[in-house]
Amino acid sequence: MKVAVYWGCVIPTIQYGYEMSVRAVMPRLGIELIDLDNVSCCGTPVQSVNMLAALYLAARNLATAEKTGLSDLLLPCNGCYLSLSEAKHFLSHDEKLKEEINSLLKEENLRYEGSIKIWHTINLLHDLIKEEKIREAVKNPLNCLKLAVHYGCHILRPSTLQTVDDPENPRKMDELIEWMGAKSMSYPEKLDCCGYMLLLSHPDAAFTFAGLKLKAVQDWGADALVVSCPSCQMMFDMRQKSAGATIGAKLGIPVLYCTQLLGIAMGIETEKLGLHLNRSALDEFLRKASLISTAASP
Amino acid sequence: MKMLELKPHEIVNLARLGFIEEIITSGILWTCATCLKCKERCPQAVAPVDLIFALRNLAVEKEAKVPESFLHSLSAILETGFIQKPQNTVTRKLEKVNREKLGLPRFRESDEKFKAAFFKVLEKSQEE
Repeated sequence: MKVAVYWGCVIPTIQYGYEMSVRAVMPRLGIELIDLDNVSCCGTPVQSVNMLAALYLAARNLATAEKTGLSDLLLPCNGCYLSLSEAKHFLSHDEKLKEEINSLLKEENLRYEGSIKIWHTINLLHDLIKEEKIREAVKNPLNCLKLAVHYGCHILRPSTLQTVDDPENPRKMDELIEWMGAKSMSYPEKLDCCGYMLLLSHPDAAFTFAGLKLKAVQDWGADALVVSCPSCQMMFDMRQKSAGATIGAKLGIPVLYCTQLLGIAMGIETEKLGLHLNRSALDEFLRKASLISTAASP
Repeated sequence: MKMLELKPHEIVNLARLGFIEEIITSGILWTCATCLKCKERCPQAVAPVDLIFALRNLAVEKEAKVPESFLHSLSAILETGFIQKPQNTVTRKLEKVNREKLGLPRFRESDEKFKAAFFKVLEKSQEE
């Protein structure tokens, strides 16, 4: 099945481990990813400055995806998922706004119809590929692992939109992890935010958000934190040291993408999944799952 | 450690009382992490975050206190279509890598036509 993919800004410019692992696992699960030409930022970073410009950017990317004629679009980034699902919602409820946006899109011979269905990595795996196919693809069940999942705010809320899962009691990522053979633990901080949106303007506050959640996950005894959003990964993995320093705690919790974990369970080489790019303490985690043998030698 | 003193219901009620100028010059608007819990959980379905975003737009329009980082993204998008160009990074073993070295396909920037069209959108939204 062919699915268009829109990577946004953060994934293809710095969060390469997510892109690599999505590109590695999807074809093996029967999904052929079709990259889009001439897309742009999803609009999220512009929402605070100019709502109309943000909506235009979101609609422009949807219109570009619709031009391929494909019926499904994958948005691996939570921020992009929110921005594009919000645009779909606004434009389907306001005919006048839709015509205004379309008159702006005409400049580039684009037209937004609202026909393409959007997916995030988590519901694409859970609801489209489904349990049987995923269980079949798991060659290396992760039986010995106890994991904490972090969904990220922007695929869960607000429930007035088409969200990926239940906003207060999400289960899809937990179930994906169970299908891989691992245990997903329940913990009180599960829905807490990573703080990323404050990183540039209020870094201490952002690192406090991230640090407190990481410390909780570490203290509950998880083997790793599993995420599905590039911004959350930036906070929990890339900036874990700063987060620990900010809250005055020593943190050493491995953090990886859901698709990286799935790739491990499917027996894909760790370097193909970009696992050498994660900054958090992943080596011990990979050893624990007796997976280090599949990693490329130094 | 630093926790922010943002209380979404306070912003809503300050706005109801007409203290718009005070809100947009105070800087409090920019302490929202956009977790969207206020919108999801408000028993009166008020959606404070929507008001916060509308007031942020107003703060920009009135050239009030706006953190520079929010304006940077906009100029980057005008230049390349994205908030940044592909960055070099390092592996855990401190080996330098980039997209090409990782075997990822070439990153495609937005074309010139997009930049012109987006500039027009910004101009138009300022007229309104």
